[in-house]
Amino acid sequence: MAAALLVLCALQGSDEAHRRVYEKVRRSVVALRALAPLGERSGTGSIVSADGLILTSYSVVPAGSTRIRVWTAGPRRYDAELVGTSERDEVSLLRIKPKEPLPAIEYGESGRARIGQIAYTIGNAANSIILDDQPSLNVGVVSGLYKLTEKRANSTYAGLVIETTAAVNVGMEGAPLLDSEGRMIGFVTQNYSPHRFLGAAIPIDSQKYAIQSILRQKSTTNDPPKGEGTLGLKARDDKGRVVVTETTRGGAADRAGIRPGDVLLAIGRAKIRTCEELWKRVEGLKAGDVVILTVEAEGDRYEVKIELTGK
Amino acid sequence: MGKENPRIQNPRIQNPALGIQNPKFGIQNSAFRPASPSEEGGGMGTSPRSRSLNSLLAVWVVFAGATAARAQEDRDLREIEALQKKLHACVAKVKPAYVFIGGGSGVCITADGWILTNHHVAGDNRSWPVRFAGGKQHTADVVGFDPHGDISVLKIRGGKDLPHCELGDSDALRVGHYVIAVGNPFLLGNDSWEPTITFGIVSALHRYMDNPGYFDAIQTDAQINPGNSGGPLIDLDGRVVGINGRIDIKRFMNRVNTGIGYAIPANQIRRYLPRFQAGGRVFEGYLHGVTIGECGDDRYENVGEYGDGVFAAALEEGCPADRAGMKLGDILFESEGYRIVNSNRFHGVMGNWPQGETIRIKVKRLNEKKEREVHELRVFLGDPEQIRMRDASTGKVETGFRPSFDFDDLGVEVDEVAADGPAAKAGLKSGDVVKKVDGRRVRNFDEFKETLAEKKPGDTIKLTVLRGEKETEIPLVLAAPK
Amino acid sequence: MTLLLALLLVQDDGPSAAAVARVLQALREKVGKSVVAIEVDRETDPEGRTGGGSFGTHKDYYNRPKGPTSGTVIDEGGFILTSYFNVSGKLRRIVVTAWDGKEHDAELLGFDQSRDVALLKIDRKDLPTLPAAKEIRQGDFVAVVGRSPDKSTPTINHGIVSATMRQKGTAFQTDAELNYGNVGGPLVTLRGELVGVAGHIRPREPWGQSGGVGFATKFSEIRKILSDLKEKKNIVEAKQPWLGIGPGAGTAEVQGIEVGQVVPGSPAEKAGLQSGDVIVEIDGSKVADFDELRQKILEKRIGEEVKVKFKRKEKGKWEEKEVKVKLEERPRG
Repeated sequence: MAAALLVLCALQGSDEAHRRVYEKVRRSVVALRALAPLGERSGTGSIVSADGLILTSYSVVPAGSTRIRVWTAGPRRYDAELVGTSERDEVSLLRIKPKEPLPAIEYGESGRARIGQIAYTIGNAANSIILDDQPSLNVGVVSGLYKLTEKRANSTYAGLVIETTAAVNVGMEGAPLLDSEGRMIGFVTQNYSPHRFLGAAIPIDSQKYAIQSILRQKSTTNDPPKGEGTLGLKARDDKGRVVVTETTRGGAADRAGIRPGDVLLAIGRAKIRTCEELWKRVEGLKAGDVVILTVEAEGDRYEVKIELTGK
Repeated sequence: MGKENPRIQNPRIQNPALGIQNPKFGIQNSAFRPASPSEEGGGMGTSPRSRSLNSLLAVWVVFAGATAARAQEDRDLREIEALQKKLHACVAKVKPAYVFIGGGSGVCITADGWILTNHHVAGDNRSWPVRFAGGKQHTADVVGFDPHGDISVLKIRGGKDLPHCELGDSDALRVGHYVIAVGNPFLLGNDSWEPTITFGIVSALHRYMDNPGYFDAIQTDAQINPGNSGGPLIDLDGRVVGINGRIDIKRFMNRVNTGIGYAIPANQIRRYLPRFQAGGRVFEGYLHGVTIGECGDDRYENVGEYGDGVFAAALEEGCPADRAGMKLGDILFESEGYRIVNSNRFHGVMGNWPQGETIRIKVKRLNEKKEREVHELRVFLGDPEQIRMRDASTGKVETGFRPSFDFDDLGVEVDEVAADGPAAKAGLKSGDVVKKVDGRRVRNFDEFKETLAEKKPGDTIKLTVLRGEKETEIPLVLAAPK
Repeated sequence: MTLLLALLLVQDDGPSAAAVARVLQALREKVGKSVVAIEVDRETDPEGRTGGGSFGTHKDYYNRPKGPTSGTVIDEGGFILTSYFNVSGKLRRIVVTAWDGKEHDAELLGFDQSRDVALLKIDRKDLPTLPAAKEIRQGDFVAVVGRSPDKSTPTINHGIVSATMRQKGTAFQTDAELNYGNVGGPLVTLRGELVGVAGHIRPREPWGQSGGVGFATKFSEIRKILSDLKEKKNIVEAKQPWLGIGPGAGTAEVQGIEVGQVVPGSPAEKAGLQSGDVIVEIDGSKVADFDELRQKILEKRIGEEVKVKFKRKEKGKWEEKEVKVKLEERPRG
């Protein structure tokens, strides 16, 4: 019986996985056109929040762009406003005002990307979304992980890239790179290694910080007033570990993704074993100062950059 | 896997810029460190205390881990080999039906030798030597063709019991389906007559682009290059779901594939096939006498939002759509199961049928209560007048014989005579050479056809025929094509 | 039993996605130790250029970009096989970087131009070789392993065997993406057995990089000539007359042979032929297809002038033109 089931699983068209990923993600991908200071650009973006926030590559919608138009599944067409950009990270965020909530793309973790794993690109290749309401899906693998040191074409990013054999073509700048479960682990950049001539994507993990940073600049309620710096959390001692008990809504720790239950292991290079040690180190800091916390959450460790707010 | 982490939706900052700042964690770690199969993800490493605790169990764990890993590897390889086996079966089925034609490819779809290829490979009225995989050569003539839709259909002379491949259902395809392209990129197969196989997925469907007109194209990332044109796109069941014809080369302007190839779908070809087989040029469908606007065009009122479809902005009186009951302002949103969402898709859907067909179009029409009601109209594609004139002037007549492939400009040599056809009734025989038609010298088949340009079924033509040493006059009564 | 059923049905990604990932990752580790990065300090290449072109556009693609290529450990004793093109021209120095990051100077032994292989030797005996693959068929899954542009890690991508008799029967064809980075690296089965060594990625070839058409010289061919290569024998290609165009797909508008690529620096380019031109006659005789054209050119002598009559579309109209092309020697390596 088990053998029969195993055989069934193997015979099951293994392209079902591809079709499933497409169904999961196709409504979260959009086509973009914008009038940049140096001429018209077009590319692909991902919906990152249900209320209409869209992530794309800076090369598609650079600072100063106007007449930004978005094509979503449907098809529907919207005018978008530029929320903010980070040239160094090659990130641009746009906003559209949809009538109903849109399906947001699920984030994956580029830190877990391994060479050899299945990868997909999906986007506005050859205007497939704008002309025919059809995001194009391409499958390949993560074929390499390395640093690019030069910036090519309109790319403004130099750094670690995920190389993929999934096809990357004109119109797919800004398109998401998906893992085997359809989660975004990066987005396509125009940069590439001329030595390999394969598509490259900027890893998403480092860009998540850039996204938060852009959003924070644009929202007025979170402007930190000058004064004492605060993390915006409460903690307790637990046998040599500092455990977060509460975070202030909208505060520095909350916006950085820290949650009650997380353990604070170090601040900068200094290990902290008691709350007293933690507060002593934070005491002298001001609003606007940036600290790096080593945080343990759900069994994994992360380094988190936090900009302190005022009280 | 599986369990959704709600924090990921609200982007929790995990490993911000770790790959660059701290090489101990993140991307570089998992890639560079040779991970053992039992490890997952970019592990942070264990503390010295726990490592020493585990040392006693280390040997046992490693041993157990290694055997488990090998078992997993065997299972994985067997799964992949199952797919590979399907590929082999597919290739074995399709390769015999593939043909090399000129600078491109084709595929044989019937036992008596009907061949599909692109028009830019085989052209209009020509004969070609075609070779099956392995090198066996036959002669085939172009029978029907569509220069705009880029299809030519050929027939192998005297074809019988030939290896062939069935047409599949292109509308059953979904994005993500595996497909295989068989072709001859860069003419690499010409020394060994072994075609090239490439493997990929369906990237997108129902794509329309012009020049030439690919109306409902399948887009694939199976690599297609110059020389693949005219060759088949196959599904894993070994059936032809498309004919490959073009690639997008905007990236870097190289005539080399970068992951975008297009194929004309089998269902579209099926609808055109009877006309191709009847012979001559075939024209694709369009809505005659209707000016189309795109929904969402803010120069008009009551034309819906972008994405609703297209609307009838102007209607010529008496045109087929008018006679079918279309009204100004009707929003066309679907036809025979194909969605019409914008003007690009509209042109694509119309081209799915040849001119002369009647298709069902669904429209939404405002009633007195200002609500949209759905109506289904049966509309004739093309301009009936133009079609009638064309049929008359290109002399759609049947002579009942097939000419030989020749170069010597002596005349038109009769190759095959259809039983019960006009040529048979006139007494024409295989081997005869037609030298004049109605007194006019004809040196080859092109010139012969020119003499038929103004003829109609029922007309008699006087053929001057060389049989052996003697010349005779043979009257032939032209028939209507079947 | 029901638990097993439940597990099988609930599995998120289809079995093959995870299976492929595991297999490729295991391959990368297994095979990676037999792959080296090769960097060359070159005075000139056979076509007289010094390399170092910029971006991958049509023109610049023909200037080989600077960066490491790959090589395969083919025999114990430090013998490395790579593509001849990788180590062609006047070389000053060859540096081989092994999987553990250690660098070694390499000596060029023998080469075979038509098979596009060259043998290097380094002073290191512990690098592993790969077992030979048995029967290879069209449709078999294969992978090519190379080194990343910063030499730090193996790269891998996969595809199928597209054809088995290419390059006069000496090479397999694959749709796994081959490029200047991984050429010289091994093409392996998913079990890590050696099928061949990636080659024939050169500026003069029309298929470019990562275009879905790539070649690997068969291991059986390599075995035939390995001892000759070790003895520093150089198997040089015969001189051939050369025009310098690749076939195009053909156009419906005009009958003839469409020019696909014009190789930069070739006699065709010097005479003014362009991509999109449709050739109708060579020296007064019609040519039916590209093969016939190829044959006709091979019948001429190096240095001979041929009259090429062709049609070119200018301002929407097809104009007939004629040029005289002086055939040169086909570039080797």
